[in-house]
Amino acid sequence: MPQTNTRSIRPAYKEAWLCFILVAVVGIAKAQSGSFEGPKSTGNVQKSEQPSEQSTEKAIAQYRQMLQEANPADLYVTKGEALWNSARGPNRQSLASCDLGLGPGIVKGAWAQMPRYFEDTQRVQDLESRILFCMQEIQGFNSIDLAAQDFNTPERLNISLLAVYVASESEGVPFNVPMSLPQEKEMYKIGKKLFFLRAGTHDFSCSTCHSQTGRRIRLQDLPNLTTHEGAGGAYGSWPAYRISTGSIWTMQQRLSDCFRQQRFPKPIFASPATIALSVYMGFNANGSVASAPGLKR
Amino acid sequence: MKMVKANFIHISKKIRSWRDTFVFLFALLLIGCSHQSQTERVNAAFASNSGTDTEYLNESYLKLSFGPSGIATMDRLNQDKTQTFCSQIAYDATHTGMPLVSKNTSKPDLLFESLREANKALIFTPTDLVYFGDYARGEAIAQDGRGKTWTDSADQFSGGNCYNCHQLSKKELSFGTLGPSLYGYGKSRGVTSQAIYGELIKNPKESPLVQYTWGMLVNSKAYNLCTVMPRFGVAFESLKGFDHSGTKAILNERQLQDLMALLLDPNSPVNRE
Repeated sequence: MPQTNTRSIRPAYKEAWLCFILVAVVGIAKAQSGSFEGPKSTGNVQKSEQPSEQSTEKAIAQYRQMLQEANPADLYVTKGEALWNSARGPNRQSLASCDLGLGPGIVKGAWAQMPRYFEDTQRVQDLESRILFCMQEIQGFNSIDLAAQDFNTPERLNISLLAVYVASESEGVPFNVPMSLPQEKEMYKIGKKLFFLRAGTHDFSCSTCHSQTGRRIRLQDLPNLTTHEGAGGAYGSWPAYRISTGSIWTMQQRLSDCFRQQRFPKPIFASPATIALSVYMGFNANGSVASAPGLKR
Repeated sequence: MKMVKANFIHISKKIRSWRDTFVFLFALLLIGCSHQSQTERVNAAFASNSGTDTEYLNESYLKLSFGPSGIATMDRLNQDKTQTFCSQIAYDATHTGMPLVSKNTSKPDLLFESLREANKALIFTPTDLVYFGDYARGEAIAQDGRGKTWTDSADQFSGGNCYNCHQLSKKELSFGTLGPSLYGYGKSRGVTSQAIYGELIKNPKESPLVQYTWGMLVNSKAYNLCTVMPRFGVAFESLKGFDHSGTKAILNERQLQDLMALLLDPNSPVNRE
């Protein structure tokens, strides 16, 4: 590990540029072949339900089309990859030896099999909590301090970049979230329980908006996360570039803002309940293809 | 020997209940400390992630994963009986394939009816029997989705955010479909002239339409127990006996009156072409 320390700084930039060019080429090829669909969860808006809505929906569809051809998330993926490979933190190490479940250093396809139980932590971890763990174990960051910060602090933004890079390495891979261990089964049960938990000033739960198919909130289509298709399209497209905020949002941030709108207290970053929800959604998505990074309103 | 054994079981049970009490008190301590820092909360949340102990399959486990933020305090995770019941039937419905929101639950009808009655009892009568306000203000309330989140303040008036789930007017195209369309609500229910509307204002107690619409806005759970619609006129913190003119409930009396006008005034955008 210390040997790679001095070596890994400069090549990371080279690799980043190479990757950037690659991403651009792939992006153009995809756009031309027409296979670069946006998030599946928002695809239905393009279908007009009422004649009066036609012009609005047409305009929205057009706007989406224009953006889908160049998802800004690709730039953040490049940044995330450079970050992954650069020596950082008190230990001046890269994350190249981080084990995301498929063995140390294997990023390709790893996210499609998360959340999962990890022997070394004896915990079920999702993408962000596992990255947080690697940042602590390998790079020497303080995970508790990082988790206590806001999403927009510099190092937390770095976690989002790392997450979008790792997730992008599973693009096109079918989800295969493991469910054989008792710990994983239990987390699924907890996630499901929380999904249906109605509470607070408005009696809202996740299921208030996300347990019916073909419904909207304002003009925003709502994925039915209790179904295979709904969970696959929605869960599979985060982390995503969010147009309204001009930034990358991970699933942890998506969940946090959902809970804000649910009028719940604030979920703690990478806390067991948030991981459990991802186990619930991820397992429901099994078999469908990972499409992150998505592009969202 | 028998007695010793019984005694032993008794003691071990006692120990277990002590241990449970201790765990419970510890959880309470962690949850209850408002001065607890975010770092301490994260620490507690991370420590609780055993992933193996079924003891944690309960509310305190969920509560360790949240922290209070602004007005969104931890007591918001304490469910009332209606919330508990409706969470459970929705959860169960995923196993039985039943629709999520249904009156035909597998739970005893008695409980269902008693909860509905309890919700019905929370519907209050407006001061001086004034059921109607101003539809233009009502439209603004229907558009406004702010209030009650961790970024809002306690003394701020919340919106009703009706458009999130309902179509209401012809002009507003950005409406949700979680609830039924309410476009033409009054007109289609016979309120076709100002004279008829005036009659509703004068004798609101005589009109089932006025009573139903008011009741639905104040406490939707009195009609459809597990509806996704919030109970707009009911205050979460104190279900009974609070000041209906303040900001305790989602909407106060005046705001509810304005929404009544929006739904039933023939001049309102809801009832115009």
